[in-house]
Amino acid sequence: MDLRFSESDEAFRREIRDWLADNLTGEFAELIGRGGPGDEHNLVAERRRWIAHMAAHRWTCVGWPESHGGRGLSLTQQVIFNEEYARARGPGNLGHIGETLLAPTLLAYGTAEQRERFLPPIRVGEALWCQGYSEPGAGSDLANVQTRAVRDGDEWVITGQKIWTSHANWADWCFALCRTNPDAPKHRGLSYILVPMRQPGIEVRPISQMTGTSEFSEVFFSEARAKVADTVGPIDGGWKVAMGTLAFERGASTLGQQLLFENEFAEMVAMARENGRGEDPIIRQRIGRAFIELRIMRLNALRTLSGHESGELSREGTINKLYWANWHRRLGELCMDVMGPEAELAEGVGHYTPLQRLFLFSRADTIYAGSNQIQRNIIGERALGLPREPRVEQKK
Amino acid sequence: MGKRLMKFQLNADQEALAKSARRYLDAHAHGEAVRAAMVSPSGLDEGLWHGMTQEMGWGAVTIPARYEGFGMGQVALMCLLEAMGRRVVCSPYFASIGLAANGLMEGGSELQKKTWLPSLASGARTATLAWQPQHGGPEDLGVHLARGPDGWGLSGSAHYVVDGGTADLVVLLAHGAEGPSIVTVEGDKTRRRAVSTLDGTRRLGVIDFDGLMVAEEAVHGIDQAVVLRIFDRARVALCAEMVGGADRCLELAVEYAKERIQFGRPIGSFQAIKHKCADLLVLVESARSALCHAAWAADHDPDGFHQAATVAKAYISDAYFECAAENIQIHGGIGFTAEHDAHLFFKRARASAGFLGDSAFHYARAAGMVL
Repeated sequence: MDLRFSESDEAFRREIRDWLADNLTGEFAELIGRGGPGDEHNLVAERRRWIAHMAAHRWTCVGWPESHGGRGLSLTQQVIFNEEYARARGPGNLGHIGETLLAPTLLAYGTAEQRERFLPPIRVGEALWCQGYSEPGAGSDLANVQTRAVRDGDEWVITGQKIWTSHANWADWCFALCRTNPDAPKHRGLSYILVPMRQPGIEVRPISQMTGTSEFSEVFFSEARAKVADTVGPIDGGWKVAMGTLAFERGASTLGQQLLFENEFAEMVAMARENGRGEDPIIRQRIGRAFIELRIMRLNALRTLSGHESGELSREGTINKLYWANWHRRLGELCMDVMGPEAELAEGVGHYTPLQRLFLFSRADTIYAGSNQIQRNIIGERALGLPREPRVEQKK
Repeated sequence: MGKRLMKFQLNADQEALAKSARRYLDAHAHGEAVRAAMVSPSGLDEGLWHGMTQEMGWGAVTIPARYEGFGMGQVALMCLLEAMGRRVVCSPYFASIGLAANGLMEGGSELQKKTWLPSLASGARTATLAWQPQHGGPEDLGVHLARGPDGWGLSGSAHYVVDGGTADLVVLLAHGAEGPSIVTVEGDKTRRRAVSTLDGTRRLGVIDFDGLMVAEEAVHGIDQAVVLRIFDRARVALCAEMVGGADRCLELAVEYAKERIQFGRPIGSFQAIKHKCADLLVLVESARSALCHAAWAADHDPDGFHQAATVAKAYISDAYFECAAENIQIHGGIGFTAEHDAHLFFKRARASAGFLGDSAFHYARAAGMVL
């Protein structure tokens, strides 16, 4: 066991820390601390410019292989990168869906031609992506996707509806799970298709949320067009590809978040100190517990990574989403209690303080990217080997 | 480019030790052995202690080579105690090595270490750590020292002393004239009694030191910071046992959920049970992360150790209790019987949660670190 960062890792930490300090200045200074959850829809053009600036210095997509313009960083160094980025309160990354979800999928399942075409624009922030998975009738039961893609020569003609699509309002592309064979069993008739968002057949309607903001949208496909050549993996073999993306989502999600959470936690503690709520014995206990569990969240994440790098299959890796989502939701509740009566005051719908926004937005944490209930099924079945729920036969 | 990684994995020696400990205890510390020890006069499995020390050499694992040990460190100790926790062993090992030897290594004088550590390493003597008054906080000291004509006079008594009725050596933390001291006293020179406990697998003792005189060389003054480190090491040792216990409870619960059939299917296929087990895995794996970090920090990160031990004891106290409690629930009626092992874990979890400060104590301490 050795829980130190190596000398070269520490040198890398200094390098990225210094670069961020030198570059989050001037025209980019206004982006500090912006664009996080609840604020993702703001400063989109400015944040695109920031991606381009980072890309010019090879600081985007640092985990990608060098052959695709990344730095081929080890997982440990990717953690360090994310930690330092969060510590510097770098702006929310508009490109993260392309960078952390689509790109690993293309690297694992895409063709050389697909990688050549799609990876470079992601790296420089020219192509922003969204994920077209959930539908009104396919949430936790994702394989129930009904959006149809019908072949017309070299093209797919796509009709249907996606929902809960983050970043859809500004995304250039969507990777969508579509039903290409309605006669096959439900897991075997799906394809993973790359669809351009800017076309007449696509309409995006932002969903107005309880936060007063609209990070999520509905996306309507009415005979939208995509190329058959832009199918990732085999036609009708999209389920496996989609599951791969979800694994990336669940794996990568804890890393940078940890430090974002630390920033939020520090803000809550500062308020408790200032308004005296930190002297309340029960509030103190809750703050102590939140701190302890935040430390453990980091240890869990590092331990998962350490297992990954040595090629072990890790059962601890399955717990991270459930752990952080629950922790974050409790933090939101604690923030409100620390704020006291002022927690109730707001300038208007959607005009909330960051801690109020956290309180509201964290209700989504235990739902998106696999709800708590789905996470518990995954842990129960994959990590503990408990038997599946018997499936109810569905009539066609 | 540096690809060397942070490693949570055990090294080869630690791995081998952990494996052999599990194997040995699976064979020698099964449910019947534990039950026999619980009702024996000493409350300890003396045959097992002999095997652990004489045959396996576990007494020596943490003790430095110059005191006739192997000097393998706290991570190695963690591996052994975890295996013991899985079996709720009735053994003097935790008190002798986890509490007393750790206390001496951290705070004892050179003479105290030279005098006592070799016999703890060999298992020739058992030992314990004593400090607590009957009423007070988990870090209060119940015994006072006053200089007498030739040596030191003691007053007061220590309570909740693990194996206090049987340990050959008592390592006592007491108030001296100029601050805390570590005092080494042979157990049979004290007036003491064993008290039976809710956790039938671990007895406690009350040791009355009133009027006892000890020689100059048996007393060594230490800083308050050293006292805290002794407690923190003890906490991490206890946490290792607790993680072993929690892991075993989850294992038993999952095994049962796979084989118990109701309504025509294994109960583990029902989400009511499956999701409970999933929540327990979150607790067990998080507990393990906290434990590994704290055990590692004990030897390698002196500045971070106190926080790491606080984090571990706070989290693991509640995690073990929850696992032990839910194991009973998942087993249903059979889990409530004396015949089943579930209650042994439940009672041990309760005892361990409270010892050396419960989660509330540590939450408050953690709050003090940030507020």
